Amino acid sequence: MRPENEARLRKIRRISGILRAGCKGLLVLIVIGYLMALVAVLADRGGSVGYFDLWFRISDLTPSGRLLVVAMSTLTSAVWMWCIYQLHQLFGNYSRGEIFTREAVGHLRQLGVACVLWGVMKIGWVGVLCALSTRPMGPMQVGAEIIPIGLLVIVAAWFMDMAVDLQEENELTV
Amino acid sequence: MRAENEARQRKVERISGGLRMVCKVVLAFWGVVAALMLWTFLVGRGPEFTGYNHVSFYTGELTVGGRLIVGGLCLATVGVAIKAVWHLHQLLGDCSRGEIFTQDAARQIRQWGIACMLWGGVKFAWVMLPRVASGVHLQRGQGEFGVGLMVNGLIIVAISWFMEMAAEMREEQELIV
Repeated sequence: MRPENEARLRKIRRISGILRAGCKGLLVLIVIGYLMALVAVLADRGGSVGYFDLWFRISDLTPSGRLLVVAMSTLTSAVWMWCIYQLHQLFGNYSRGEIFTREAVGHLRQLGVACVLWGVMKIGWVGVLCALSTRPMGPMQVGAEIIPIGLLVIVAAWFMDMAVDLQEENELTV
Repeated sequence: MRAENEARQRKVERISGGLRMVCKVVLAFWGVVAALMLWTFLVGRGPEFTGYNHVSFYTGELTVGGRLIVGGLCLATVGVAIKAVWHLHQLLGDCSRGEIFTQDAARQIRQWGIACMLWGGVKFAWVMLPRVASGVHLQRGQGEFGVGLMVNGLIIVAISWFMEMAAEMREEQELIV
């Protein structure tokens, strides 16, 4: 391998290693945030919990409302963890120099799916807010641009998957 | 090339061609939206115009300065949307020619990521708009600051940077072989 390419590869490894460490930090933060929300809702010592800038005063919630918030918190945290985990794995592939491989493309596709689910959860929280609100709610805007972004990532990953197929077959033929 | 590969290539070409057409239609739509917005802000006295990100205003109530600010932001929003769709169109063009793991495709992905970041910036600007333009109101509920979109854009830019490096390395190696 040429020295410039070796230097590039080292750079890729170093930066993806740093980004992997960042992902690990984010995963820990998500778990801590989730546990804090869980304890706050179950202990009922006052305060509020919120996701996507939608806040719920814990003392206003009925037992079934609390269960709903806990279930949604669990689902949302799971989607966030799934998303960051895929990113972590993708950077893992990159750190080994495996960029245009089937595994890397697979993680990219899963990342797209996680983005779509992220948007769905955002809409879901607005639904929960409407369901738990004691006052009548008017029409609401939901910024769910992450859904089309996720869909486009899935499409891009699909094209890349096809390209990997072509590439692998060409290599075998040569 | 083997028959299955040819079929795959044709499929990629057909689907990316179809998606490119969709992009063209969306670009035309945004062009019309931009023209309508310009008309509204230059001469319009119309009813309430619901902006973006929970912001609303009556066009007729805006001062000349307010019209310029809101109009500028509307055009910036449309501009960012057009940028995002344009780079997607170009990326699909690369895909339709079978140039998927190339430097140009990686650059288009990066530009698309930048457009996502700019979209987050535009969202932030909309939330801040009521502070700088009188007659503009933030609707019930909070506007979003667009941080999530900026982070998403940043991740896409990072991924495209890795792809560009890898494509560069591969193209160089292919030249050596």
